[in-house]
Amino acid sequence: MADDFPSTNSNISTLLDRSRARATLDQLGIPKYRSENWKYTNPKPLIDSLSDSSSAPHIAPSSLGGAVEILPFVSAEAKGLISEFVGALANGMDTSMPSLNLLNLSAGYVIRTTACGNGESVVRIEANPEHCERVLIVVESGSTLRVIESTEGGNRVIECIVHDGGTLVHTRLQESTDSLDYSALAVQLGSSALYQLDQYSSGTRLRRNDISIDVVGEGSTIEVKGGWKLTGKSHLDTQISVNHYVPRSQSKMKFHGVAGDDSRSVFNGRIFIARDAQHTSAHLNNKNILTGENAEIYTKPELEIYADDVVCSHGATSGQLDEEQVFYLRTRGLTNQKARELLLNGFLQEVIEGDLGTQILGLEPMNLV
Amino acid sequence: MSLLEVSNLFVSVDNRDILKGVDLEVNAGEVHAIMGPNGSGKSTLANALAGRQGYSIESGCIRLDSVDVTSLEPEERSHRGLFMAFQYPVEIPGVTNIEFLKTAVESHRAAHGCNEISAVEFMRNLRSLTARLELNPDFLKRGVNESFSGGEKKRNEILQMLCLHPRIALLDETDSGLDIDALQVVARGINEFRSPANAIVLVTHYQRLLNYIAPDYVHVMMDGRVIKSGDASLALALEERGYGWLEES
Ligand SMILES: Nc1ncnc2c1ncn2[C@@H]1O[C@H](COP(=O)(O)OP(=O)(O)OP(=O)(O)O)[C@@H](O)[C@H]1O
Ligand SMILES: [Mg+2]
Repeated sequence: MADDFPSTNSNISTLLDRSRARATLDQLGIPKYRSENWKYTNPKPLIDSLSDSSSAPHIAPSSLGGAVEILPFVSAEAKGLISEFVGALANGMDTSMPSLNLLNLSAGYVIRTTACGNGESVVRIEANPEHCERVLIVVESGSTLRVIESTEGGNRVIECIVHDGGTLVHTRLQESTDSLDYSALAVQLGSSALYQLDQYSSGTRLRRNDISIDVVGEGSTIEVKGGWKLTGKSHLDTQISVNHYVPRSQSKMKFHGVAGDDSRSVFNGRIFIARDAQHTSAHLNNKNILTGENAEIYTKPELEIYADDVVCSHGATSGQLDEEQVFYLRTRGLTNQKARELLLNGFLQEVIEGDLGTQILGLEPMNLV
Repeated sequence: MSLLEVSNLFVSVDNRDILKGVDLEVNAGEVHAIMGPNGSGKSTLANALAGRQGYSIESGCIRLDSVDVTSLEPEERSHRGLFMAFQYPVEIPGVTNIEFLKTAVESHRAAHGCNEISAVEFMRNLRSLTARLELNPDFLKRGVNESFSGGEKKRNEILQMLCLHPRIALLDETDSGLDIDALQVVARGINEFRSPANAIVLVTHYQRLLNYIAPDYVHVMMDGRVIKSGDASLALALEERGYGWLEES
């Protein structure tokens, strides 16, 4: 079955051990519409587009400063890291899309911090429409890396290893585009590590984000914020799973979405706490506002807890703008439309960190004179 | 000339008749107090005047400066100088108080054909107002009324009133939930606002506020009607005797 997906770039594929990807594909099968993880999103266009080859040149990640190296998969220095990590994390996700990515890869890079304690390094990962690419990020012990990532169509899998005491701050900007956009993100945290993700998505024909974060070292922290604003016929599906395998770690996830016009917003957020992961604190919240008459929102939080001494909360809501708030603003002179804009703006600003997210979502900057 | 004229107003909410023929005339420079038992329709009157959806006006008329505003939108009434301080101010997380105030002020300026106020000038005004109301300037950076205490919310309503310079201010139980010092601060703010050009309608349960802000007229509402009007002495009589004696008469 896996042979139905021949690799498109033999240079890269000979470097990679594809047996793991094939095994995963055999085990999970090719993603199918209406199956468990693909209830509201049809994966077929995403899979079909894997065989498209892009005419645009691939843009490599670039360093914006600090002690960090960026190695193409084909370089000799990348070899050891690739065989150790590539595929190892993403293959653990409960979808076979990352395996399909590996079998169709057109470009791959390793991003690795090279020194610790010297302030933060910054790397930019550009959008590469229609490319099938993979990035391995290694944050060495005690070092800090900031990644600013753009996606604008294409198929990308990012695997991140954050070693003990490391910090990875990840800003993901998902721009509006006419093409299909698939992203998988698999993160593994060592002890006392920090992973922060801020993900902002604007509307796109079809965009799917699969995110899996594994805590395998004690005392680690995960902070995830996400915001989206969908218009037209756009479709966004975000599936996130945070897995606490060891004691004393904490995760906090907060997603706010606005679904306008004829858009469809799908969210599934799962917290898993293993039997040994005592003293975990995990919180997940997804709030949605529906502004389009024909828009659809599907949201589902899931908890799977096997430890007894944990603090955990999860919640999901969807509804319209609060008319009480609209009236309050109108009595202060705001027009009906302006009041609604301000409220939606505020709702999304609650999950926004910095101006990049504000720009992506086309929000008014905050008036903090 | 009367700033606000309410004539024979009938209002229903969810198909329930709440206001059953209210008359009220407020002239420039006057302070009116509206009192009355819980559920008598005081907030319904204030909300109907502010143009709240779902408060359907079955008959009667509301005039601001002799203009019939009965069917105008809430923001149009606001632009014409009507302000209501909410009995229960609304929390808006995510929208900062400062952004809210600036947008409100700009909306008014735009409606009157004025250009935008400079950020510096706006901030200067705002700082002096927060100081007058003894509000910590940090309140400006927080979400609108978000986790404000009851008294802080009420002071924030007065701050909005002072920013918008209304011609007629309806203050719905702005004194409820204020501690003794805050009551004085708020009363001072209202007194400084008071001028021959504007008017104030205070909805209150307590004589306490009226000790600081002397009303020209006191009205008693009961069961959706103004059943008695008088001068400041009426409030004192109510304080002493309650509402029972009015019901009997
Ligand atoms: N949305 C609504 N639906 C149904 N009934 C309502 C609604 N709003 C108000 N009422 C009713 O209208 C009546 C008048 O309420 P209102 O809030 O105007 O009273 P009030 O005089 O302001 O009372 P209080 O002194 O307690 O603030 C009450 O019986 C109340 O239950
Ligand atoms: Mg009331």
